[in-house]
Amino acid sequence: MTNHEPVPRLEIAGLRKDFPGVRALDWRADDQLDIRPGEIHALVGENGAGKSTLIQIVGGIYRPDGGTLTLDGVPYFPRSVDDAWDHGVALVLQEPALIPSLTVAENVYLGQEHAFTRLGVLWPPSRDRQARSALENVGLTTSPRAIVSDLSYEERKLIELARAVSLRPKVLVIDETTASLSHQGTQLLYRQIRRLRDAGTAIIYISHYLEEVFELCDRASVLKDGNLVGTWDIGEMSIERLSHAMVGRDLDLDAVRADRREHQTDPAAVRPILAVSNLSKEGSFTDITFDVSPGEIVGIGGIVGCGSLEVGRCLFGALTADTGTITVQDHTVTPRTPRDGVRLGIGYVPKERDEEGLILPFSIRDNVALAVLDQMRRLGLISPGTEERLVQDAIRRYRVKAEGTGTVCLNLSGGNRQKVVLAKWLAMGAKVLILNSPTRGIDIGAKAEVYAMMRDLVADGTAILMITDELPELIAMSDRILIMRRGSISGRFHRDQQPTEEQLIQYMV
Amino acid sequence: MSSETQTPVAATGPVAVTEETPGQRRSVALRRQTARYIPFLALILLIVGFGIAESERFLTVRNAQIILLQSAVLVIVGLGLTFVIIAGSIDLSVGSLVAVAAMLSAAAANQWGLPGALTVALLVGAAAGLVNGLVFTVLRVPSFIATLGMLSVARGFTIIYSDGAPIPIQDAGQVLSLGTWPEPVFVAALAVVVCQVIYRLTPFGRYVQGIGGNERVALLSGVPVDRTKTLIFVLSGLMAGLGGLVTAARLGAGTPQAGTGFELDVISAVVIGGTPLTGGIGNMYSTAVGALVISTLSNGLVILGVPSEVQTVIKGVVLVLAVFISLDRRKIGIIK
Repeated sequence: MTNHEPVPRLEIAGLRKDFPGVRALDWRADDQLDIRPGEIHALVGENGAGKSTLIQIVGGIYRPDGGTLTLDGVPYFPRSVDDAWDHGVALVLQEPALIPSLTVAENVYLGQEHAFTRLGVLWPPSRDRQARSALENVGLTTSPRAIVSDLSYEERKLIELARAVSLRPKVLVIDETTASLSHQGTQLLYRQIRRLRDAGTAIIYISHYLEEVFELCDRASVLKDGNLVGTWDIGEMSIERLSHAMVGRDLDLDAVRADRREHQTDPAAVRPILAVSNLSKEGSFTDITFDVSPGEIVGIGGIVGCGSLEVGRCLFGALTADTGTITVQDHTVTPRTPRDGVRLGIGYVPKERDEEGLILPFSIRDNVALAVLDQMRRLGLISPGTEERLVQDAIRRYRVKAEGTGTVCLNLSGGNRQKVVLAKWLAMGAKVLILNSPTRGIDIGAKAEVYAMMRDLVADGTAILMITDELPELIAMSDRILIMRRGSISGRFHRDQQPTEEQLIQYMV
Repeated sequence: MSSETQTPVAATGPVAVTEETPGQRRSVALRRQTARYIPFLALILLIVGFGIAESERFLTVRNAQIILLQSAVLVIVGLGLTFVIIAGSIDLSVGSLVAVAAMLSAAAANQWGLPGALTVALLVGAAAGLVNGLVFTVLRVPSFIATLGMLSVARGFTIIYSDGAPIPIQDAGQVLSLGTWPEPVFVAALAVVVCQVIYRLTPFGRYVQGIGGNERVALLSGVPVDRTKTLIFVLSGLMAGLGGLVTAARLGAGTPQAGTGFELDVISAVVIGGTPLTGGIGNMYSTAVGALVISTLSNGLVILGVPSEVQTVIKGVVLVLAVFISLDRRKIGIIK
């Protein structure tokens, strides 16, 4: 079914993109990725490999710092999403991209209303009529006048596809769409994608699920750590070889791992401080059972959407589960608000550090003090002396690099910001610490320091639950590993089994 | 399964936190530091300006006393509102609450003297504030609407209770002296100090600031968000009550028209003082300075003989300018 035309639709060469503190894409000058018309081309790689950045550059959301793009033989440098759209490049992203309060037709043609105006006035009936055929094109019978907020997730995803397709795109990019679709919805989506491929569209398909890649796609390109590893025909590949291409690397965390084994206490000898039993929440996770003991690091791994994030939130009280029990130090209490979590001695380091972890315009002192204010009271007033001492203590232990406690967190690097978030929970004396993607977006040096902090904490008897999608850190730091897939625990490992990344991936996808 | 990221991009890649260089960040911080002194400088400028224009009438001890007296109620009520604004909310009912408190405390003064008047004023204000707070946190009605509703309810109540007529205070000096120099200014000054202590040195004050800075982070750090949000309205009502008592004392009566439109002056005072409406930043001293700026401006314009309609225009321009200067557009991506 693949079309072996000599001229690729889209050529991407030597791509580079930097963000503050992070080099997202770092291709060699002669690295080239070709997308052909009439093919479904998979883009695979771990989190942080650069897939999202790549398609965002293709779609006009970011501008590259180096490299070239060529569309049908002509240089292609989209300045905005509008511009990319005008060139026939459409993206269907992972996050919802419809405006819930508008109708289906309004959403499908958002930004293209000028095609339906008569003498400057928008004529809805012709737009609605056009929308109906656009929806039929993707197999939907939804009314164009339905309000999007009334529709199911699947319908919305297909409407986003209809929107992209209505453009008659030359290049269509689909990112991580099937994670939340039912089997039926997925098959529907595949059918539409194949139709588009047969009609000559060049399709880039991003997915973490390798079985899906092998079912749907013609060729696959692998990205790893910002580099382009290679492109292969699916017919010539196997899932194992593709996995290996995605993750095979020299573990620079071998030292950390070895160190953990030396200092590991025997968890069997210590009673669990946190126990979770049959925890379920509709739409997020089912039947989660595990425990964590003081001095232990339990890692939960899984790809985006597997439910690990929600489990972490429930344990802290930022989310409520439907059924199941949570026991902290023998008290079966269900934290319903984060304040309950804090009272139980649980600390939570969120994934979105800058939005949920600390208040950027505030100083280090104000951020670290936030969780401990009750403890600093003398006669109803906060004693500035106690406060300063507590904060100084915390930042000294965590080696936060700053001129003083008054430094505004906006001026700190990502790594230091993360240390401030950790310091907040240290100051509060958390007995259980839930870490969500603890080293996300921070440089190597700071990563090492965060790992060192975690080691110190467990040596002191803190229990750590680490939720992450970075396999190397999961393997290096965890005493026990739980892998989640589509809401349930699919695999459990102990450090002594020495699991490899390839083994873990099998359980994640 | 639920999607976990909130930003429209950055699904599986590194997070673009900010595209600023360290140099740019330092200059933003510097601008923020100097912005803090602008209201104070503006006040000095006004005093100097009016002093030059009309020195015999403006630069007298008596005139300074007048300005301070006229600022007193504005400061008192402004302090309560400052807590609300720092937490990121708004209280539009303060003008009406001043009227209710003025009226009821005037009536109480005639029966029970100063202690009675004070108790009634504070209780009434706090109770109304509690209603505001609960409508906001329990019924989840936005504070703008909740307090707008209270504005009308309280104003209506004032008119019903008084039958449209003022309630004169008949005591022989105790309450009325609260309205003459220097008592109102002392009360205002004391209120500033107490409120600043509450703001910086109590957990409650920090919670207020945290909620205004980033409510989500505050919640995830164990801050009792709903409880704090309710209390800020109680505090705002309490201060409005105190302001009402002082107003009644100054006028010698509780009038049903007291405080009409006052909420706009109070909000202006807070904002001109440098506390942005977006919350998270501010302090009590700056509200006091903002109130003084407004009073000095009014006073100077009157002395210059500027007609009151023109004064209103000028006050509006000053308000917009003040927000323009103090707003940190980098922090708030979308201005509505």
